[in-house]
Amino acid sequence: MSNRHVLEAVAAGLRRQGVSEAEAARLLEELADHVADLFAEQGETMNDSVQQDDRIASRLGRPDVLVAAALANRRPASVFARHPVLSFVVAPIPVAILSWVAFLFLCFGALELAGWLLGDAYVIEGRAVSDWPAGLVQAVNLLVVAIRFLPPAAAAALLCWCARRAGVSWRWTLTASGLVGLVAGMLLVQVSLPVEAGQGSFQLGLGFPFYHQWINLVQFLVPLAVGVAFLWGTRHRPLVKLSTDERA
Amino acid sequence: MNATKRTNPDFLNGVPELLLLRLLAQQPMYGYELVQRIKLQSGAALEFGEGCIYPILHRLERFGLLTSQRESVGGRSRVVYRLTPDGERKLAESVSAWRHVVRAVGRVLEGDAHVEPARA
Repeated sequence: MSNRHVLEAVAAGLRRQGVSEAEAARLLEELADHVADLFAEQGETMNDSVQQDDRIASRLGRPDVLVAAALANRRPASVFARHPVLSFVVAPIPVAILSWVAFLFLCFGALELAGWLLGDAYVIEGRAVSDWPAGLVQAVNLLVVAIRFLPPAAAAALLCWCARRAGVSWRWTLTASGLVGLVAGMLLVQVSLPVEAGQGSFQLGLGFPFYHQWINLVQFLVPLAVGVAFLWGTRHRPLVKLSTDERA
Repeated sequence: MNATKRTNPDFLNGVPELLLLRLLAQQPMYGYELVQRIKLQSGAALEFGEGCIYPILHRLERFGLLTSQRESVGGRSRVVYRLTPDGERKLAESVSAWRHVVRAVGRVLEGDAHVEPARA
C-alpha cells in the first residue's frame, strides 16, 4: 500500500468513524511529518515502490490500527468537554440564578404542604407573625439564611460534577465555581415578617454590596470552597490508569 | 517486517502515556523524536505502530499535561511537545503508581515457598 494511500486510508477511516475534521486534520498532518522523517531516516526519496510502502506502513502502523488508536483517544463526546466556555463560563450565571428559583419553589412548596398536612396553624398567608407557630418562624428564618448559601453551593457542586465527568482541566472547575460565587456574592436578601396580616415581604436582588456586608463575602466564598473541595477530593486520581492498579 | 503490530497490548495499558510524559520531562520533542527515544532507551524492547503515539499526545494535551507548537527543527517544521506543570505532577503520581505495581507483582512472582495456600 502506498504511503500516500496509507494516509488516505486513515483519513477515510476517520471520516467513517465520525471523527471531527479538525482532529483528523491534525492527526494526518503529524502522520505526514512522521512519514517525511522516516524517509529522511532511510535516506530515501518517495518512489511509491511496494517495498518502500511496506516499510513505511509497518513502521507507522496499519490504517485500521491508526484509526482505532485515534478513536480510543478521541475528544470526548460530552457536550461539556466540547464546549467548555459555554459550559463553565457562560452557564454558571444562569445556573446560579436558577438555583435560587428552584430553592424558592421547593421551600414555598414545602411550606404550602406543611400548611395542608398540619392544619391551618401552619398556613402563613394572611396571618401576622405573632400568630405563627414557633417552629414555622424558625423555619422561615432558616430559609432566609439557607437561601444565601445552599442554592449556590448546589449549583457549584453540579457544575464541578459536570466538569469532572467531562474530564476537563481543573481551571474550568475553578472558573465555574468562582463565577457562581461571584453571582452568589451579589445576592441581597431582605425579609420583613408580617407584623400585621398581609404586610410581610421577601425580596431577592443582585447588587455589589461586598464593601459593606461581610455576609456577601461569605456567600462568594462558599461556592468557591465547593470547587476547591472537589478539586482536592480528586487530586489523587492517577492519569495513567494502570489496568492492574487496584487503587485506581 | 510485520505490518500488523498491535497498538497497545492489554498488559501495557497506560504505559505509553507514562513513557511519553517521562521523556518530555527530559526535554521538548516532536513525535518522531519521541518514538526514536523510546526505542533507544528501552533497548528496542517495546514495539508499536509509531503513528499511534499522536492520538495519545493529543489526548494528553487536551488534559492540560502537554502543550504543542509547530517549530522549525533541523530545518524542518515539526510539532514540538512540552510538559506542563500539571504534566509534571501527573508524571510523578504515575511513576509512583507504576513502581507500586511493579513491587507488588515482583512480590507475587518471587512468592514464598513456605506459605501454604488456603484450602477450602
